[in-house]
Amino acid sequence: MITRIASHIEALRQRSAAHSAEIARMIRDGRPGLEVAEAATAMRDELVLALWDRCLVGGVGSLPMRACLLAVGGYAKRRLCPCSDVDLLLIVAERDPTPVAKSCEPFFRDLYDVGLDVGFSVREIDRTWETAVQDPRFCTSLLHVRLLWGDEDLLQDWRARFGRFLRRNASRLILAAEAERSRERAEYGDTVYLLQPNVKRSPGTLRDIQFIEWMAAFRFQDTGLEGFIRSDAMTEEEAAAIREAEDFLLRVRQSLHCAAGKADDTLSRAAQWSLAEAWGFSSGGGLLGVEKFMQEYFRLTEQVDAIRTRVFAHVDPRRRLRRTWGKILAKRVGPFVRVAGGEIVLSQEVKTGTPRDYLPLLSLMESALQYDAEISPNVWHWLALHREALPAEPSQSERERFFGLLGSTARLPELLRHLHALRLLERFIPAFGPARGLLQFNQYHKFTVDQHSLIALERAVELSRDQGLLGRTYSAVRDKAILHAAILLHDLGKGRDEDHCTVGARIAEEISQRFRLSEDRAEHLIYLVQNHLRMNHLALRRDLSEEKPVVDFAVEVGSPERLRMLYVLTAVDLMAVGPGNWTGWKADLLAELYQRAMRCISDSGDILLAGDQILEERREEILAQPAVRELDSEFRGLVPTLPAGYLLSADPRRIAEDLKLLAGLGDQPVAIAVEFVPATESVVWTVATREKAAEGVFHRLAGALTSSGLSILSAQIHTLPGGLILDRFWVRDAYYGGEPPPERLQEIREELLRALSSSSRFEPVFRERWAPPGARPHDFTQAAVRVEIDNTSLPDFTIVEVFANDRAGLLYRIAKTLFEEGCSVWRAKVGTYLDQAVDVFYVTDRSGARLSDATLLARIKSRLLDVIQRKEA
Amino acid sequence: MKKVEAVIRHFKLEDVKAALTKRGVQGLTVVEVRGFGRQRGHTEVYRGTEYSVDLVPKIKIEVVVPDEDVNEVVEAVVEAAYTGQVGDGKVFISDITGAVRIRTRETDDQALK
Repeated sequence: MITRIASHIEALRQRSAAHSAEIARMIRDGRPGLEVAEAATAMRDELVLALWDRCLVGGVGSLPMRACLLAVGGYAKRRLCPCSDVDLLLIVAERDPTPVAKSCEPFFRDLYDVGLDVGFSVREIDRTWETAVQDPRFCTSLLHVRLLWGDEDLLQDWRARFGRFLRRNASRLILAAEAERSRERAEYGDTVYLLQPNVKRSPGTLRDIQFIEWMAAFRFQDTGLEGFIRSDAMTEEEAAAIREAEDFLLRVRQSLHCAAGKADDTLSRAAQWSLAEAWGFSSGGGLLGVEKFMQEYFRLTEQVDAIRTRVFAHVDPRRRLRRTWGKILAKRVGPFVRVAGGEIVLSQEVKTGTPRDYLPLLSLMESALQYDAEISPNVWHWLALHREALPAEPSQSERERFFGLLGSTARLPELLRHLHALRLLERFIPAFGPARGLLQFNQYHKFTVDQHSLIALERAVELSRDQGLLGRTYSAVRDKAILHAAILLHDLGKGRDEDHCTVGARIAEEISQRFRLSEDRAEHLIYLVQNHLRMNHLALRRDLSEEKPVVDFAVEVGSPERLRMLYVLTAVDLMAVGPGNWTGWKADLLAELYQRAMRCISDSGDILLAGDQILEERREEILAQPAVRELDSEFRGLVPTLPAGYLLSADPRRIAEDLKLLAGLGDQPVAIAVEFVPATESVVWTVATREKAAEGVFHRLAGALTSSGLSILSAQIHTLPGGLILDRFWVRDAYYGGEPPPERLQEIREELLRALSSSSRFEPVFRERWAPPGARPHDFTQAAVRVEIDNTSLPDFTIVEVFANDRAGLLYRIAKTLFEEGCSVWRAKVGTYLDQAVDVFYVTDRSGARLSDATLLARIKSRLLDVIQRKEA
Repeated sequence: MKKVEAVIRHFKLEDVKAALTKRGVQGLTVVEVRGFGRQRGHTEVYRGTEYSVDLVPKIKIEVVVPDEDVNEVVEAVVEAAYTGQVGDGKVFISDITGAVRIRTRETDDQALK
């Protein structure tokens, strides 16, 4: 077939390819981002104007006398990246732009055929406002325009009218733009400190720089920053910092586009590694090159973010009004501080001077906490200006006063966040310095270490409004300062070779001395930091129906106050890992462990915290289920004997369904139930069997599910009284989004039955999940791959823990290996957290005894390691 | 055998159908679909591309033909579906490894007749 590409398109495509090569060369040579963007813009101009001229010559007869072709948005501002969109606007003086738009069609089509991503519209001069009023995004795009062709007077006319429009609508536009940007920030992470940020849209990135310019335009009708500098909302240095950040971010974005060949703005881990290397960030001083690179990214974006917040506070129409009133109604509340218009401000004589110590700061914080009022952005700005004038070390009494503040709730995290942004938090808690922007190279965390700690503190403070067990426990903690300090410190030991809990304990010890904590407070703090993972591991990886580990744990913790603190610390730590990490399942298990441990150490018999109560309630709820009431007495009689681990693993309705399934088992070897859970788009398969009905049930089921194209999200084995066994799998179907049709479920059911029929010796075939080549050039999670065998915690079982990178067929291979080594799996907790699988098995030998042969244990360990490292045949 | 799939403008279906029948194509499957390509659902775009992608309604047709007919069929589809504007659609051609007529169990080229 002969292609029909017009010769001028062909020529321009070649031109465009030459442009791309030139831009790529500039990027490789490390040219400044602004310079590359200018060059890319000039090249785009060349293509656009070539086609526009052609369109004019080609007889756009109906093009009116008065018209102008404008570049708008980032294109107008000359900030193009290799794959940026090109936004164009044709303004005409005509009443009806439709015929003009029609004649411009070949122009738009040609731009498209040359390969540009184009936005193009034709508007009559007065009609521009109609859209601008309705759509804040359209309006902000018009804040930068550049004449490419046409009638200059018409553009002047347009500018004058647009200026009037902006003045008339400034307040409304400011609020609309802020609402839109807040939504976008929330969508892209809501903090600067993301492990894989989007360099265009995440907080502190290019969009916030644009935002600052928009605010300047709304307020001063000019996108330059001079207006802010004149009105003291920004310093010259800050304006320079914004330009520095813009250049850096543009460079990053240009490199990302260039590497991906498309408009990809996510700074992925792989990209971080390659950029750090290309830009000469070398390892040293205990930090990897990539960590230094990201700390530079965080430093710059944090500055932009802080300036953005203050600039918005400066132009925020609501705040301006309040400020006017506040001046009249201000009230002095301390030696340095006044409350004015609902915010904390400095008294005049302090503001004009330079702080010599931390007393004004502490006084501000105390007032903010006492009056539950926000500290004015101008005050933070004042502190930022005078940061260097403050002594490097707060005095002993200042430190102690600071520690006292940690016992507050409400606005505490917000204040600490500001202090951290000003690099003042590390003057009180030195370990916060190295944690700034510290990356966590696993697939599990979403935030850097410092952010994770601050977010955890926010979650804790929010608990004071929570009515549940966790909230009541938080409220019952008497020494909140110690709890909050433990939350802040718990992960600060990260980033060194040694185990972070051990390093953390040392940090906690230093802090205790620094703040002169009493001996018992210091002990609490050190214990909490050192053992912050203890409860998590015990609750999520151990069967809680066993008495011994719970008792051991309770004895170790020792006091109810410390247990309360540890419970809250564990919960908020999990919550602050990333969205969706705190699930009802984890919450229940943790609550169960907390309550049972509390029962061991609380002599008051605290009803609120009574442990068995939840289990008793569960049992009653189960007995009340209609499905259970219909069962005969043999199965109803099972309910009081059901183990705790099982009772908490599912809701009463599902347990009732399980009992019905077991009752229906009769003489068959196996019964299968299936249910679709819309909330998680997953399918739950439950397989009921009897002990000794078939061998290696678990791995056969796992193999059958995976080879049918299902990915196993989570799995459990429950051994119930009377030799009944339930294997439960949460799976997601790669081939069906949403609820799978009945024939698909039937197909899988048959596959499961086939896998269990004892004669079949089938080997399942797994489809590996597709991953783009080079997507994971650095194996970040390698350190986490390990096998641990615990033979001491329980008298009856050997506990095998496997930590691995998830892949198709992993669970099958692990379970099969255990089976081949003569192990019976009694209980299993299998979970996938993003890409990391954590599988725990309680096993015995075939006769039901704990494994004791040391060579066997060593062999199991080494075979499992081979399996998870893909070395097996 | 080759399968020719074409995503076309909905109002071009009649033209394409006529063009194919004229060339002796015996069977055709038509599906109403929604999707987007580089056009991203906009003819007049204003920074809209950056924020939203609309799914535009299109028609997808599928024809399976013997190897020797494929060029002619593709030509016919392209000719009939052309307007010259952005968003005319695309044609995809793939290998077919087998075909069976259910009633008679004839296979491959026989099954297509």
